[in-house]
Amino acid sequence: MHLVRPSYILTQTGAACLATVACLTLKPAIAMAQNDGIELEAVNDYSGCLSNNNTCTYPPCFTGGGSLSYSISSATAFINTMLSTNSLGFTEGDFWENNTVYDTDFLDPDITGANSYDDDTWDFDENGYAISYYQGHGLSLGGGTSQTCTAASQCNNPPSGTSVGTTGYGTCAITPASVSQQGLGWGYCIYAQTPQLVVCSPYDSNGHEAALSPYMALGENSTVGAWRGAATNGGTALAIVRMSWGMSPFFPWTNWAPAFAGLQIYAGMMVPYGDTNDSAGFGGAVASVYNSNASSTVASGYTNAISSITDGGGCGTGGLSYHGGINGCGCQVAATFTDTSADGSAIMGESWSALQSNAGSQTSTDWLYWTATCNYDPSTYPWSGGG
Amino acid sequence: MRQLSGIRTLECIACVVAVSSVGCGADRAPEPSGTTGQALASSAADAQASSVIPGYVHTLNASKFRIGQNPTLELSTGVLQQWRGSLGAFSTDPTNGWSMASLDSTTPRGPYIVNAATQNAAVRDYFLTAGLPADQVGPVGADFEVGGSGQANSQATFASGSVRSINSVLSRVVQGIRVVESFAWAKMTTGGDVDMEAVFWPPLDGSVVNSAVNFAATMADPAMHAAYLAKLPSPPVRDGGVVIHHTDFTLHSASSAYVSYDVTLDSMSSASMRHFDVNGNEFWLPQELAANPGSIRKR
Repeated sequence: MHLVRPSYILTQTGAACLATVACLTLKPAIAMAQNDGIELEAVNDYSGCLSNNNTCTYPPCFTGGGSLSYSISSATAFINTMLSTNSLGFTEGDFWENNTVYDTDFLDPDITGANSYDDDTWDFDENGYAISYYQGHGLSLGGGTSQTCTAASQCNNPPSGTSVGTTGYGTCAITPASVSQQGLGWGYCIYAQTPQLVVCSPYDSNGHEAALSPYMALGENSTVGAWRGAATNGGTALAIVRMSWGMSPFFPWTNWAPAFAGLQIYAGMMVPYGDTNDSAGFGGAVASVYNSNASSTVASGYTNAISSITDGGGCGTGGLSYHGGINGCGCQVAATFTDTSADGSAIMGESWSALQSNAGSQTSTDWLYWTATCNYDPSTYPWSGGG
Repeated sequence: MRQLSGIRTLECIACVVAVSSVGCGADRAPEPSGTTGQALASSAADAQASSVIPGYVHTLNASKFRIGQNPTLELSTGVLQQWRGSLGAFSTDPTNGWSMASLDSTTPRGPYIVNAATQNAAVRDYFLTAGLPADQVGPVGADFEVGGSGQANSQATFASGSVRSINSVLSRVVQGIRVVESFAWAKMTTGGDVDMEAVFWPPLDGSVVNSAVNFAATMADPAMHAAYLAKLPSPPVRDGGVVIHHTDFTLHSASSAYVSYDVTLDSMSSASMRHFDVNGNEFWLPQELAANPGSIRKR
């Protein structure tokens, strides 16, 4: 039996990108007195970056997939629902779509070694933003394997381009799907790979890719001070990132922590078997939690919104779920990294208004707090290892 | 490659349905407002010509949500009515009958039922007692909440851990046909209260259901099925069969319903279902076509 790799695979085959002076943004600097902005970036159209006999309109080219259909409609439902009643006064910032989404939007130019065209300062992590939303493709680097396992210690053979986690092993992820294929107690090995957003624009400067490490630094602000040389010119508090391999199970220290630089909550997708669905229902479901009660908890509200998403193939036999925006067995995950346990607990319990100010506790990644809601039972079908 | 240009939408076969026109749930929702005039006008005409499959509007009166003391109508707009108590808020969209309730961030949670079979049965009983039509309830699914914490690289953060709570999700099946966008889910405590819930279960025009049933019967014939699949742009990778779709809860209007044969046509693991009408013509749901004009970018 072979594992269906838990990602829509985009394999880079091209070479250089089109980094030119034209990549400079002309957006004026607008200071916001309060952090109430919402930035949206959504990509359906990847046609200019898909390889056809190793050529494409906007090289480098990818193989292994196609365009998406519902990223923009999902993001639209998110912002429309957020602003529908909007008792806290969030405002719509930029809504970049398709080839107006640049890979530079997500990366911090202040980090040593970063591309000088990187520009999260005025895009995904702009000062004055509270929420940043991305929906589109992620990149698979081969972290999902067909290696079978019953324990993490057996996951010790990472494919090229992947690695073990801080435990010294990959993750052994048992799911209803793996059990149906391999038998009771059997899972598949998953290895760490740097999560990467994939976009498709002629103005990209990083090969259409924005990796969470080493040049993504979200949320740096004057309250928490500079991170990793990222200055204090960020500000987003909640990053919602819906893509394949956004939070591969289960590598919080290896893969998730590097994106934090004052960010309060990273809200993504973790799919131990299968893939995220090209979902139209995701954005509206997440925003409906705020719309129905602005005093509710952000983190658990985000993860529990999975129950209002009716598209996706679900986890199938033994998975108990028929929906959730997942073609397989997976979870919506919210995580934070803080300097103390108490601070982490506070962030995970905060309401939507807390996103509108900078949290003072985001000064290190010493402590991890995470919550997930899954379309299967992860205690009966556990994951272990990684790190 | 999927053809994204030339998108067209399916004509509304028989739209429904002012939620107020159907007696369902403990209370009736107010008259819908802010709907698209064209769709609603055709809905009313069609609804008169056919029977209506009742929906269910979940109300605060019927809910076991732990709203706390002194619930008051805090907000009443054309698209949202929100009651707030000392522990949380219950909201409903009067235009389409959607409702959702959740605790405030400061309210203690649980303790929860963490056995899926027990919780699923309790939530099913809860909604049926509240008035949700029993003959429309399909399989009950479950979503499981887990979590953890720990200092850098502590072993406590390397495993999925135990279940903290469960959302039991009622799916909808009418005359054997799945109604995709309908749901009723709740997170129930061991005491029988509800800490979080959401319901969207709109009425359906009977002609839509009849059309779906007839379509499914036709597809049960292997030759007819094969002939239909041959009309599609390519062979199905994943075959979802005949389903009923309706507009989703994010659209502030009375629900419109559609009959579809759902399939995926490519091997992408992220591929979503595509929708084809009885003639094999592709269509898109209104929520799938929703688009923000986007920002204007200069570089």
